[in-house]
Amino acid sequence: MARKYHTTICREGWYLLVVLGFIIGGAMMREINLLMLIAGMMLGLLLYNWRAVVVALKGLEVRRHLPEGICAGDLLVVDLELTRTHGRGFARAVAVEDPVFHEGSRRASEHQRGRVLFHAVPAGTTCHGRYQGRLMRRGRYRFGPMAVSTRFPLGFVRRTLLVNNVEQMTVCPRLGRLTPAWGSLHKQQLRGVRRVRRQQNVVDAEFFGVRDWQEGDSRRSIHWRTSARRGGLVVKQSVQQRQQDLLVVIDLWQPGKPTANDLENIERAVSFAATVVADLCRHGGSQLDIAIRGADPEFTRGTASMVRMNELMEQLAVVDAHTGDGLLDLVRRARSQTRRDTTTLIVSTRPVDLTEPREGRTTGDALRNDHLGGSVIAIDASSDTLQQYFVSEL
Amino acid sequence: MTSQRTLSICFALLAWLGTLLLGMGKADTSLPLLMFTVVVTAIYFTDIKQWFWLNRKAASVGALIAAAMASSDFFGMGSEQLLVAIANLLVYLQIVLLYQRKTTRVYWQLLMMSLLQVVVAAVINLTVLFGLVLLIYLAFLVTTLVLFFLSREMERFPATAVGALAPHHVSHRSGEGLPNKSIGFMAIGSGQVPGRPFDHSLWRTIAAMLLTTVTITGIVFFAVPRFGKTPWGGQGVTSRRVVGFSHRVGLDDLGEVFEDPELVMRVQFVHRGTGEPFQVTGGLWIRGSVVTHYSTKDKQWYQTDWSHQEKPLVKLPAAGSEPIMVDQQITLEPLNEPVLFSVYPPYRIGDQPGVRYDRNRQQLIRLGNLRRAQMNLHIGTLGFRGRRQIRVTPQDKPLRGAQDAKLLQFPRPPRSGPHPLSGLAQTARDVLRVANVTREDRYAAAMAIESFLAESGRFRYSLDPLPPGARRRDLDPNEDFVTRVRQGHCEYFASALTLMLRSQRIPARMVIGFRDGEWNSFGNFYQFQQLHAHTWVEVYLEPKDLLGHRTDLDVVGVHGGWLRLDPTPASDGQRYASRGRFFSGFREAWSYAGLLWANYVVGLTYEKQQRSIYTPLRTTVVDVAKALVDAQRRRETLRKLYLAVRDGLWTWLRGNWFSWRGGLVAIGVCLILVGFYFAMRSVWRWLSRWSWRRIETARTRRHLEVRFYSRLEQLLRHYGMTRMPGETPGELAAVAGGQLATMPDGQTVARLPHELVEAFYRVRFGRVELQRKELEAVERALTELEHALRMQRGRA
Repeated sequence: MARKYHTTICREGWYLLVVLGFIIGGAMMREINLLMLIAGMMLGLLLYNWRAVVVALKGLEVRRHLPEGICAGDLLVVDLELTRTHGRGFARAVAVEDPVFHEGSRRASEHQRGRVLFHAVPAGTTCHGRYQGRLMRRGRYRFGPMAVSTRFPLGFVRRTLLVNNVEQMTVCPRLGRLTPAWGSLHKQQLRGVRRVRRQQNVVDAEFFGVRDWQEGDSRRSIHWRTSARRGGLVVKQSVQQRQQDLLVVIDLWQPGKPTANDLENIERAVSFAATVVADLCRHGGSQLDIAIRGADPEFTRGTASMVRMNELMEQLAVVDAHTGDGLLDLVRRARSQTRRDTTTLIVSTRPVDLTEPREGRTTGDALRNDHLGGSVIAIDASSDTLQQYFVSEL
Repeated sequence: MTSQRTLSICFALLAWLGTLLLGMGKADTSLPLLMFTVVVTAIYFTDIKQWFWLNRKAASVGALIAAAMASSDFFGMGSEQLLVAIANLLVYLQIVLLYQRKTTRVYWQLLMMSLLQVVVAAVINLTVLFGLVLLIYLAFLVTTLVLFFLSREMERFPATAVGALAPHHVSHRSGEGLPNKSIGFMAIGSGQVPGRPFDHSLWRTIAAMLLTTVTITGIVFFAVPRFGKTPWGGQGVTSRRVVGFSHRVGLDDLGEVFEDPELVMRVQFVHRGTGEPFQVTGGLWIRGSVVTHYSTKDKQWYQTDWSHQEKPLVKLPAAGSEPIMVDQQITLEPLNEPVLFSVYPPYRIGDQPGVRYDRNRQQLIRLGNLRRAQMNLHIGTLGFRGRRQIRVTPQDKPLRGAQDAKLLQFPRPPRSGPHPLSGLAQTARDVLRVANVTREDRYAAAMAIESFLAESGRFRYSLDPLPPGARRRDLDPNEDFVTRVRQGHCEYFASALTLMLRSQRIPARMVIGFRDGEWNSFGNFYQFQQLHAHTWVEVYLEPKDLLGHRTDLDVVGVHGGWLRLDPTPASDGQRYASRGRFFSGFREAWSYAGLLWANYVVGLTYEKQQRSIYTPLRTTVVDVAKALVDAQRRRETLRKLYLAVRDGLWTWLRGNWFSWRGGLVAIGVCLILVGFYFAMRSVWRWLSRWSWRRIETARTRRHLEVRFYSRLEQLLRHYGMTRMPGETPGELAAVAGGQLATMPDGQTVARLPHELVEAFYRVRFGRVELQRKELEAVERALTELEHALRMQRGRA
């Protein structure tokens, strides 16, 4: 880890030097020895400060401990560890500053620093400190290089130790809450799938377990052998009875010169998609495919699980908006690789009208004509429709 | 809060010390007393009790009034008085600042003004006491700067409250430039590691810093090269007046002066042959000015109206074994008078700019611009035989008739009535008759009259004023003194002797100067205060007058000489010697410090720097280098060093191995130190108990602070949101927040459980003490939550 020291005179130190210059000048011009004495006194203070800061930073080592992962808006707690291996006595008023950059941000004003003041670090010991914060934007953040500095005891001279320990951390999209309306919509889609499956007489159910019979359970689901063994009715359970496959298509479109509203819509769409993904992954079991129309179109497939959720969150954390078109192509490509009865959820930042310019057909028409089956839910994040299903925490 | 109070006290004391330094320079106690009152009241009423303070507007008005008060001093004054006016303005502005609420800005302003005060004080203050107070000031300055720095650092790194990092706060704060709150970016807080920034080891650091700063100050001060031929020094605002050296001296003027302990000068005599300083045996008379004309009308002595004949001093001639050649190193405090003091005859040794010798008046004088500054005079003399001061001063040129006439000036008899000094003249005649001496034998006649006044027992030395009516105003004071009162100070004796000699046609004059002084064994020098001022008489004798008499005839040249006569009784000298004997050691040390201060700090010049610092340093370095290279030389050096230490130690042990006085003092000092130790230990224990009580109070407060979480749990439980076993407070907050969000109008309060739990975590696990504002916010959140839940139940 590269370490670099440098010493600077602080603003107060420059003021002192100016006053010192005046006093020395006055002493020389008026030939007054006592003014020279006072000048020596002030110079003594400055020199002592310089020596003290040089000694204080010798043998200091600093480490940072980042949390493993957080979502935007969560409380960020970064632990710092300051060890003094050499020297005697105390290193006092040691400030550790840790710059935090959002890699997608170019404005210097948006760069901030976590700062911790260690009042006294005894020789041969390790002190622990922490700073807290909140990162409201998803994305990848860079921490470091850290600056360990002190101005003790007078604040005229600053000695800084730059420690090049740069680390990265991904902040996942902020999760919101899905409303009961979304639950209803989801169940509705589920019934549609069951109907389709019953008609097609396809039972893809995977055996999950058994439970006692309840009123309303189908007789076809009774597991007769286990019922005979236990002396009571027992029914089989399968995962497909409660879960369904889902293809989430995220269209992060923004105009060439996006307004604040456009940017907000992008974040809302990502947050909604992330919430849906998290919800599905917590339940697990179903197929969860993701197609993202961002700056770089992506399509991934996988089974809903916590691992899958982490992958998708990382993906959603860094996805950028796009200004082009091609949503329909992406949807077609994705649907062609998913099961026929997979529900497609299109989350877009614009009204979902994937009309092909030549044929003048709508998304629904286009997808129905593709004869791929499954239902399509299209949600426009820029409209009020989203509020029916999703409460944003942004 | 305690550190803030300490800080405000330190700044207030700093302001007072700065004013004290100024007051010392101005010889004025009113401003330090005023500032002391202000400091005490400001600390108590403004900083501690916070009963009143000046707001910005009132402070501005106060500053304007201060400027108006000081502005009148700025017009029609010299540069020194202008400095005093600036100093006054600084004091007034500091008073305004001290009554303001203390912020970082106010502290900076106080600091700058205090420093400026010290700078001004350094220009107008020259005494060693300034150095001592400056050292105390430096100690306070260092302490104040350290505390101020720590206070600012703690302000720079506030422990950011989690409440301040709540999402809605962050959005509003860091989303600047972005109209919608949801684009809020990030807010990173700061923190402080729990600890005690003001522990006892901090004081060790401050002590070390003080010591180092003083050392560096000394090195810088003595190493920075001085330049120019003119002496360096300050410029006293008020140089002192010595009544005894005025051109017009009234007999009744001197009573107060003799009692004045103010320092006038320090004199060291060094034998030029051996280079050793020495103490004079017998009396020591340092001559100043000469007065020759007495007016019975004014009852005053005047200087003669002889024309000036100012010339440079004559270079010290080569002399034989006797009289010896002596260096006089005189440090003279600022005086209004042009006259310089010396043992006569004075001679030039080195270059002494601005010093002249008035041959007609036979006195040393200096140029006007040297009067305000402290002056170092380095001249030679042939006025000693062995260690005894010679009684006769040679006349360097023949006396003119006019001069002789002046020396015989005696009041003329009035047209009618008796001579105002007839009794005095008759007494002189009687004395000569009784002593069987003719007035033609000047030497014997002079000695007889001197003996009559000094040793007959009829006259008594006294500084005490006589009771009203004791002196007759219708008589001349000399006549009254000789014939009736026979009691008075040295001026009466000298005046009477001069007139008695003149009445017998013996040329005489009065000399005003200093006698004896106070010998300082630390620094081997004499110190003269105003109370050592003295007057004596000199009689002019031709060489023939000295023939047959046992005196210092050999120093008298062809032009004759001046025989010193001191008619004041011996009790005069004993009086000085008996003053303050108990503290004489301390006084001598203090006086020596004053001399060193005057010579090597205030009066450090290019020559002194070369002589005392650069040359010895260079020589030492060269010697050491040579000793390192040359083995023989190294051995010799080490042997000399060893012998010097051994002999010095042995001599000391032999002469000083035991002293009752020293033993008693040592025992006393030890007892004082032991007492001081126990006193400090008691104070330390009291402070420790006090700080422990504070810690206990803080702990109790922390327990109180965590109670808000219990209240939260109770509240939620009351409304059906019970914390399940194994559920963390954070999970409880999440569940409660979710339930609250689904309630009508519950969105606004859904975040409250989460915020309260975060605050609880900070207190419980982060060991952070909540600030007053945060506690208030917690209380508000609980009230808001309770209100919302009650409303919800009402709707249900």
